[in-house]
Formats: sequence, structure tokens, C-alpha cells
Amino acid sequence: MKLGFTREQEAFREEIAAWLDEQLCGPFADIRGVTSQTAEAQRRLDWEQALGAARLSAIGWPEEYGGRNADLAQQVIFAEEYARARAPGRLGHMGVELAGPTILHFGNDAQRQRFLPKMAAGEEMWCQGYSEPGAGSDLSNVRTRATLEDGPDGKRWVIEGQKIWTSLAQFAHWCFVVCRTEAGSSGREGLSYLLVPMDQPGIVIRPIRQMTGEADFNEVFFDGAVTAAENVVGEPGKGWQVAMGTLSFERGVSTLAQQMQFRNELNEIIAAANANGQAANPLVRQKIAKAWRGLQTMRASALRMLSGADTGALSGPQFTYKIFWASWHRELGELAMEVLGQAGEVVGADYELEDLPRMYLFSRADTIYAGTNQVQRNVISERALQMPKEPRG
Amino acid sequence: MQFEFTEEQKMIASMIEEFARNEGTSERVRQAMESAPGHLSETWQSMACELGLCALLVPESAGGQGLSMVEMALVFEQLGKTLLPSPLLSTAVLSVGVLGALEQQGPLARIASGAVVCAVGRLVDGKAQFVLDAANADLMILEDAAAATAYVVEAEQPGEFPGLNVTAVPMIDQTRRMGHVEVSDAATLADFVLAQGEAVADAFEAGFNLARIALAAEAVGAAQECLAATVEYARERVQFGRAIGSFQAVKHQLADMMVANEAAISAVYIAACAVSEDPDQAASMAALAKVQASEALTHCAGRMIQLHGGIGFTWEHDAHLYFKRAKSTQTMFGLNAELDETIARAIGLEVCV
Repeated sequence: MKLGFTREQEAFREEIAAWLDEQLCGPFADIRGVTSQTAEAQRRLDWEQALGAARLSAIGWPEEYGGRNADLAQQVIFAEEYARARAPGRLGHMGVELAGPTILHFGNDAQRQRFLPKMAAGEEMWCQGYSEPGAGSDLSNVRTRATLEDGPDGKRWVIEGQKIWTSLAQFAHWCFVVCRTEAGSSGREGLSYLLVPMDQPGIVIRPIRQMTGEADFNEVFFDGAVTAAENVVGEPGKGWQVAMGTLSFERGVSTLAQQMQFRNELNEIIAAANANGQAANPLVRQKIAKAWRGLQTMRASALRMLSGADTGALSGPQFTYKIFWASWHRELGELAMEVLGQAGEVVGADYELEDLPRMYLFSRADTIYAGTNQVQRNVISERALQMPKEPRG
Repeated sequence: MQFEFTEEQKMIASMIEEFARNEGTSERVRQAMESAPGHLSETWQSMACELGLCALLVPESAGGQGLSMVEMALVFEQLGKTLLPSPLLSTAVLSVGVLGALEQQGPLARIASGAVVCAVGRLVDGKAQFVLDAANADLMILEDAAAATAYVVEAEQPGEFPGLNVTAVPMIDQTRRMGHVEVSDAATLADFVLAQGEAVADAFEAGFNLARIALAAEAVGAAQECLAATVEYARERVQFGRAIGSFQAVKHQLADMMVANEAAISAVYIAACAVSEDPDQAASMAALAKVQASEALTHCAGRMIQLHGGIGFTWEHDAHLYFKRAKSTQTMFGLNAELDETIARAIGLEVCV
């Protein structure tokens, strides 16, 4: 057990830091520090391509697909430097962190060749088609259906239904969609995991304005949308296993980048407290110290999860990580507002928000998406602690 | 960077767990609790001599094993599961930490041999309060911060030191032994100077930082035991015709216990690693481990009583032993609020003057 880095790893750190500095003081200086999900979209799409060209978009992937075969230490270093440089939030993360690993793990060779290099190059953006109005926490209740039909170029899937809470759909070229492909099936059976191109007449995207006033999420309507027959990951009808696999990648290295973002937020709170005198308030000092403890704890938990990633079985922190970070982050938002006082409640003429107040509001979603805190507690107690399962209706 | 236990470390953990399970049955823990020295001498002999736990942190040059805080944390985590009382924390961690920082090969070698119990106190105006294992120690290390002086005093009998009055103090947590130390004869004490100067304060801080991490590891073991026992009870106890573990109100409390414990485990081992690799981080990382783990144990022990219902409130059931251990863990080696202030300074919150 060792935390330090080798000389080679430090050399890698220098390479990454130098590249980020050059880009973010030069051609991409205008989007340095942009964290809101959708601001400056076109420039951030350019940024995705710049990362891709430097082979820095998906460093953990095999080289043949545009990655660098980076090990855990290098991925930790990359995440640290990315945040230290205040590089912008990734528009490509649904692809690189979720769709990509899923295709790498569950897809076939043709799919890997077709999709991964363009994802790593920042040329194709992705979004996630999971939740539906009637399938939130109860994801297996999806109603969106797809049927295999004859088309002008051979067999193709024809999709009818609706997805909701689809982040970044407005920029996406592709969507991974969980849908029902076996008529009369219910629950986890009869689902398939389809890859669907977004730019087609059968798809309509409608933004959802959320409590921050911004629209990071969308409704996506599928009305006769099509995708080629081969664009199914894993076996048709066995999509549930693939969909769960994708969720497990949410507990992967992407957590490192997220933590570094959290660290920047905490540093911003500390700077604000020093600037406005709240640093003299012992209650505030204690709460900030507690937030720091939570952050260190998350770093260690992520390293535990990722170090043990090859053993297959879910370990303790894999069960508890989501509820811990989500609850921690929501509390950080409350702390930020306590430190800022009324100055933190001021918005722009069109309800524009500063970063910390936006985080305060947005963090209310953290304990809901990717498994609500309530569902997380059920999963922990049933799967990790083997308590009796909830009755299902 | 590798945040996984080595095979050797896993072996240490499983060996100590087996020892703790055998030695630390409820009967034996209670026997030790009620005994005068607060531990069973044959258990202590096994730990100190056969298992060599007193030598673990001692450098090889002083006859020790030269292992790190990661190994020591693994030992304390396993011992914590059964609350097995012993003077290991004061002797093998706190004292070794202070003496190691002062490079005192002689006393270190004696501790490594397993022959002595060693306590550490910090004198303020001639008194050191709540000194762990003071009343049954063979050696007493004292800091007089005002004089930048460290002393090491040899006992005439365990707990009886020339120039010092030591009084045993019965505490709520009977699995530890506390004592008050008072200087009765300053001239006699002056014969036992160990070190003087700036290095003294740093050495005591270093010792207490290691002790905070070991204490935290012990708490993490105890907290996991609270969860395991409560999970088992929730599976067996039937009310309203079903196991109480099938009610969400119970399940969610158990889940919260696990969340707190996993966080505490992470905090303890990152601190144990960091303190071995980067002494500059020792104070804030030790604070992290101690606060996080003692709060987790406090949470879990309280929930253990609540979820056991009436039986959890009895003297006969072990839940109260964990609850009381949690209390002493919260207050030992610095109050948690004080340790959070250590963190606040370390992370750049400005201090008003």
C-alpha cells in the first residue's frame, strides 16, 4: 500500500500539465474554468477534439482505439492535473466514460472499430437513454419499444417511445437506448441495448428547464426512429445486464475527475470564507474541516474501488460511494451558501448564477440521479448486508 | 501508487483477527475490564512477546520489525473488533512514536522486547490528566512543554514512580485505564531528563499523531463489529410476523452504518499511508482518521443499541461496551472539535489575531 508516485509517473504529470497549460493559456483560454454543463457549447466541442488529437480524451483505453493504455496511477494524475488547470467540464463524458467502456466490454469487434475511435477523437458525442416518465428508480419498467423490421438497406430497429432526463442530448450524435424488444415481456427480461443515431426525423428533443433556470436535461421522443440491426450491444433481449454494466462504469475512473472538481469547489469556499470574514466563525471552520475530511475520504474510497477493480466482486466502497458523494456534495452546496450569506443569493437579470450558487441548486439532483439515496440504501442493505428484499408490485 | 494491501499485510490481519476472536470473547473482555490492571496478563504476554506487536513499529536498528503504520492499523482494526483490552496503544504506538522521533534506542529496545508497559503524559503546571495506562506502567514518558523538556521515569512498582504521584481514575469506558499524574518532587524528576529543546514538542506531536491513527483503526474494527452484530440480529429478530431487517426503517439505518464505516476505513488507511510517506501531512491526516472513525463508531454503537431494542440497553449485552468505547475514542488524544481546528488551519482557513 503506497500513495506516492514514481519518477516516470511524475514525468507523465509534467507532460500533462504542460499540455493543459499551453492550451488553456492559449487557444482555449476563453473556456478555462467553465463548469456549467451547457455553457459555451461549441467551444467545448472544439475542446473535445483537441483532447482527442492529443490522445488525452480516454487515456485508459487501448491505443488502437485512441487511448494510451494508462494505468490507475496515470489516470489519477490526469484527473488531478485536469482539475488543477481548471480545464472545462467534459461534454464528451457520456461517451468516454459510459458508452465507451460498455462497448469495449460488451460490444463486438465491429462495434469497437466503428464507435470507439470517433468517441476518443471527440468527433462523436453521446447521451444516455435510460429513464422514462414511468421508469425512474424502477428502471426495468421501460416502455420504449423497438422492433426489427425490413428497411431499404436491410434489417433495422424501429423505435417508439420516450426517454427523459437525457443530459447533453442536444449535442449528441448517438444515444444508447434501453428498450423493450420482446413483445409481452416485462421487468428485466426482453430488453435490448441499442445504439441510435440522433440526427434523424424520428427523434425530437425537448429541453427541460430545471431549478437552476438552465436546461441540462432533455426529453427525447422516438417516433419511428431507426438504427441498423447490428447496432445492438450484447444479445437482443439481454440488454438489462449490459445496462447494469454501464452503471458500474459510473463507479470507475470518472469518479476521480468528479472529485477533483469537488476539490476546486471546496477551495473556492475556503477563499470566499477568508475574503468575507466567515473564516473567523468557529462553526464555519468546523464545517469546512468536515467537508475536507469527506473529500479525503472519497479520494481514498475511489482508490480502494479502483485498486480492487480487477477482482470482479463489488467491495464495500463500491456499494457506498454514490450515496456518500451525493450527500457530501449536497451538504457542500449548503455550506457554500452559509459562507456566502445573502451575497450568494444574488442572480443576474436573466437568472444567471455564479458557480457556487449553481452548485448549491444543482446538487439537489445529485441525491436523485444515478440511483436516489433511498434506492441506494435499499441496494446497500439488500445486496451488501443481505437483508430481505423489498416486495415488488 | 498502489492502494491495496499486500499479501503479507493480509496475513497479518488474518492472524491478528484469529487471535482477537480467541482471546477477546465477551467473558474474557469483561474479566479484563474488572481486573485491577485492566487487562489479562497472559493475553498481554502473547501480544507483546509471542506476536511481537510491541516491536512492530520499532526500527530494526533498535531490535524491532521496522514496519509501518499500515501494518499497525491492520493490527488495531482487528483488535478493535472484540474490544480486547491491553496497553498496546500507549506502549507500542504512542511511546514508540515519541521515542522514535527522539531516536532513543535504549528505551525503544526495551519496549520492542515486550518487557514493559510505557505511558505518555503531557504536564501542564506539574500535572498530566487522563494519561492512558499511567497507573500500571513500568515506564512513564512526560513532556513539560513550557520547559521544552522530555522525561522518562522508571517505575519502582508498576504505577509507582519516583517524584510522581499517579492516581487511577475509573472511567465510563472500562476497557481502558486512565490515570492522573502529578509531579510530587520536581528535583527527583529532574534526574530523568530524556531530551530538551525544540525537538521535544515535535516528537510528542509525532507520537500522538501515530496514536490517533491506531485509535482510529481500532474504532473502525469496533464499528464493523457493531454493524455485523446488528445485521445478524435484524435477520433473526421477528416482530409483526417478519424479520425486522425486512422493514425499510431498519434497513436504511443499517445502510447508513455501512456508509459511515466504509468512509472511516478509507480515512484510516489513507492516513496510515500518508503519515508513513509524508510527515508534513501527519497532523491533518491523523485528525482526519481519528474524527472520521470515532464518529463512525459513535454512530454505529448508538444504532446498535437502538436496533437491538431493550436487550441492547442491558449490562449483559455487549452493545454498551462498544457505546462506551466510542465515547472514550471521541475524547482521547484531542477532542474531535480541536482536531477539526487543526485541519482548518492546515487547509488555509485564516486565523484571526
